[in-house]
Amino acid sequence: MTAHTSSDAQPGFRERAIQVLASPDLQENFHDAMAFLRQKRASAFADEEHFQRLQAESQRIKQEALSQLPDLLETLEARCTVNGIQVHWAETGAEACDLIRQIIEAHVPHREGQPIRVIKGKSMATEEIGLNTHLEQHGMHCLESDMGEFIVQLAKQSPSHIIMPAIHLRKQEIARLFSEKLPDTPYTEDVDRLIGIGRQVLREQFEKADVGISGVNFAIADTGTLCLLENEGNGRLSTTAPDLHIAVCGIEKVIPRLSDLPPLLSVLTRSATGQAITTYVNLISSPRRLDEKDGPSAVHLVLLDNGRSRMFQDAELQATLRCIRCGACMNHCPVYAKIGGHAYGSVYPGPIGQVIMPQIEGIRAHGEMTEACSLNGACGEVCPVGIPLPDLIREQRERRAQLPEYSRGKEAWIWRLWVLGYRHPQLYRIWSRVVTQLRRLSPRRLRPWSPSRAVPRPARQTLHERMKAHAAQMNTSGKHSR
Amino acid sequence: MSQGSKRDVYVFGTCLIDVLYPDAGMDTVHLLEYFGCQVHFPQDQTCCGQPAFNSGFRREALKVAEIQLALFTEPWPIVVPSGSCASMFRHDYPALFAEHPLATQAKDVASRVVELTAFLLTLTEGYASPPKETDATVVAHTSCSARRGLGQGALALALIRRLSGKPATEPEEAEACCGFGGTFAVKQPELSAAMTASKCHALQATGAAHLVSGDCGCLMSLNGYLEQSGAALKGEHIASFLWRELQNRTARKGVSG
Amino acid sequence: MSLSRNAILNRLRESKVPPPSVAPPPLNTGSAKGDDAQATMTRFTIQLEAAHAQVIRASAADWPHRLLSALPAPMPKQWLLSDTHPLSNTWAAALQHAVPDTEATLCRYASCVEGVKQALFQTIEASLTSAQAAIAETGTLVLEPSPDEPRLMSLVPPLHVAVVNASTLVATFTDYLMQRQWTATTIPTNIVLISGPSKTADIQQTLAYGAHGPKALYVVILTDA
Repeated sequence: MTAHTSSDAQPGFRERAIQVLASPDLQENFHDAMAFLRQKRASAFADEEHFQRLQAESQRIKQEALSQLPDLLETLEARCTVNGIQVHWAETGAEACDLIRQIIEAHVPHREGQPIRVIKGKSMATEEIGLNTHLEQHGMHCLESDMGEFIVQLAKQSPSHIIMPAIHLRKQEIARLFSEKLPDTPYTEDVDRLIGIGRQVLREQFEKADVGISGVNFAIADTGTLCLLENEGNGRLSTTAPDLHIAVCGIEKVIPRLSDLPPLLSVLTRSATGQAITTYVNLISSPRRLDEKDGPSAVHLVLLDNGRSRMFQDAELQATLRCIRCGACMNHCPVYAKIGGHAYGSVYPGPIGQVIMPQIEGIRAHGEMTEACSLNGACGEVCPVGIPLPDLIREQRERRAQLPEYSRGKEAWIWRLWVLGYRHPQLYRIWSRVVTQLRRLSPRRLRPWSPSRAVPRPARQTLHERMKAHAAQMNTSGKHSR
Repeated sequence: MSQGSKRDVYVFGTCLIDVLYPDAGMDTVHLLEYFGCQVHFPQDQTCCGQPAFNSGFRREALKVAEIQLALFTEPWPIVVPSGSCASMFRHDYPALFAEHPLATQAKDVASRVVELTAFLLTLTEGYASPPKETDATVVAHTSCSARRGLGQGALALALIRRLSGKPATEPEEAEACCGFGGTFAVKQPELSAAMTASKCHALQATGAAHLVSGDCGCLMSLNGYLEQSGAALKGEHIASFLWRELQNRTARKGVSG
Repeated sequence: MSLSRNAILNRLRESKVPPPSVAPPPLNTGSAKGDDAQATMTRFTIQLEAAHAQVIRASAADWPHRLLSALPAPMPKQWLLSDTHPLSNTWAAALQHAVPDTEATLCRYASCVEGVKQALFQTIEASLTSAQAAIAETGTLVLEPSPDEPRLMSLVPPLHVAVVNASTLVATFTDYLMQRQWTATTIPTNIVLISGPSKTADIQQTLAYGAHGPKALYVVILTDA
């Protein structure tokens, strides 16, 4: 094991980062993809003023929603119920998984020897609760239908980006994956043909699927409406073709009214992919009515807490509930751009992940991740709902430092020594002088700073000493000239 | 250059400059004096507290930060030759001391702290060095603290052109972090070094003859990588570059005059 | 179930740090009425075309003719049409007139989806629906699926033709919402905003059309002239 400064029981982030850094290909993938998304975002806002105006409006709406969160959730529940959408509440991921399985088992008739077929639209909330694993353990067959998610599932991986799940893979890798895993599929690197192959495979599944499961981008309280954004159409298919639709929605997704939607849509798609709007904006307010010919006969909404109400009770972290999951913080994070999402070892990677994962799964499980940040501030600058991410990442470090095992650990002692050395000016002047006088003894290699960087050598004299001499000299010359 | 009554300023030299790069500190002082300032350097200064603060050790940061608050009793500007430390004073002190008996002093100090390039830009207004016909371009690295923390963008470019007459530029992806990040550099050294490598490649790609930055933290990482990889380019603090240029100019003037 | 509901709501209500209250937004008056209709129409067309849709401007009298000549060769023969909407009858007549052997391949969405699902997913090549409105700012069609024109019609067939009246064009989505003034009881079961054919950039950021929904979108704008 390499020298760890962390006291976490599990080795993790640093080792995973080192693995990615050993692959120039992977790094190039991430660098190019992030540069692409950053450029797209930049061109989607006419100027800084345009961004700030939309940001202020979006932040206001999400903050307004938080200020009435319990009431809005009840309104949402009431309006959905009136329109035939059945609403459920889950405190934890495990509870949500159980609930969803029960809804499915109650709705889909049992067929001997034939698993229940679940098709999924892209949803980070279902990734968060590990829904696929749970349903498969109960004999169901889950298929991701977003093209990126489909690819990642086929490769038995997890998404490396919340908007672009397969961003870590090159087309050659996808070509190989398709030709090996899909029946009768020739190897092709032609992206149109690859997408065509995916389309064909998934189309057959959409036709047969018993259940469609989706996330929700915005849940609109006043009309009881679920809003889903996408470019591919798989989200619409998942929520329209099967007879049962289950939407999983974090409780922070609720917004007061339909008229709040336009600015939020605009800022979300511009921040995420640089689009003024996604190809499809799907507003679902009811299952199939008696006179309708299609649409699911039953729609269920699962409101998921999973740590969110705890964040709500936390003065510092409350702001994170404004997050609209656009991914701009990742796209602009220089650490993410180097190593991508998998190295974080968490469902939500990048800056927003560094703040919310320790809340969802605990600071002990995700503490090291908070070190993966140079506090350069880029994420905070682009957040469309004004979440002060850099401050919150630092805040997470503070909380980690307060863990008993951490405050007894090596790093805590280093800082105690540091206080001793820097809190007493006279002592400070003595030791800093000693360090400069012993400069020849300073090591040329000093892990972990080296080996890729030369170690700086202390100067001959400290600035304190030189300024003392300088002041004396100025004083003398000043007296002379007077 | 200095005429009439001098302008009193404090200089906070930063802990990194104190032990590793005192030349940058002295050149800061020389520049300020050259442009008419009376520099005061409180001998009891140590460190702004940022390393501990950014690492999550707020209590420890506070203990060291408290000491600095007592140093600047006169209402003079406090010039800091580091975007990072200046940003700590300006933005983080008010929050750090929010519920502290010294809250008022912290706010007062925060409001008086000015990063060196920003201060010089105002101080040297009206000064212009004639443009030089030279291929020796200067590439400037602006730290994230200066760019985002202080919202200062690339002030260095204007300052370099004004005081040295040399062409100045920024690298591709100028807004990208150099990978230093304080304790980040030792907690995630591989990642930090990889980011530094990318930044160095971008800086070298400009073909510039000089590399300057207003932050010694960034320079420590950049120079560490450049030296290790045997590159010809070597970074220096912008104060050192500007002071040398000014001296050269004065020396030439002396010869020709 | 209700236990969780109460627990969650209680935690939210009993929070020691209530979020600062925020004033509701100022009453939105929609976009300024300064823009002339021509400029709005131009904007709509440019945006839609930029999103890879084909735009056809025609009058109520000649749209079938214009659409026939705009459609790609070979002309799709398996069409899914509404069994009640007047536009479908017009189009069916035009198709049969232009391509006599299409008669057998017109599929009317007359029953519930279970009856047409297989054809819909496997053999249908194209569909034609109306759109309730158009939004200029983003080049967007608004569809409000109904028993006449069910939800899957605009989604499953590889080619989708949407017919929209120029008079329904509004500047922004906000304008449209203000016009409709939906409440929980009046909002349609499903509303879809469509801004081009289906697409994805999930493979190496390379844009590809027809990921799952229509590969091609034809928009017929009916003008008075």
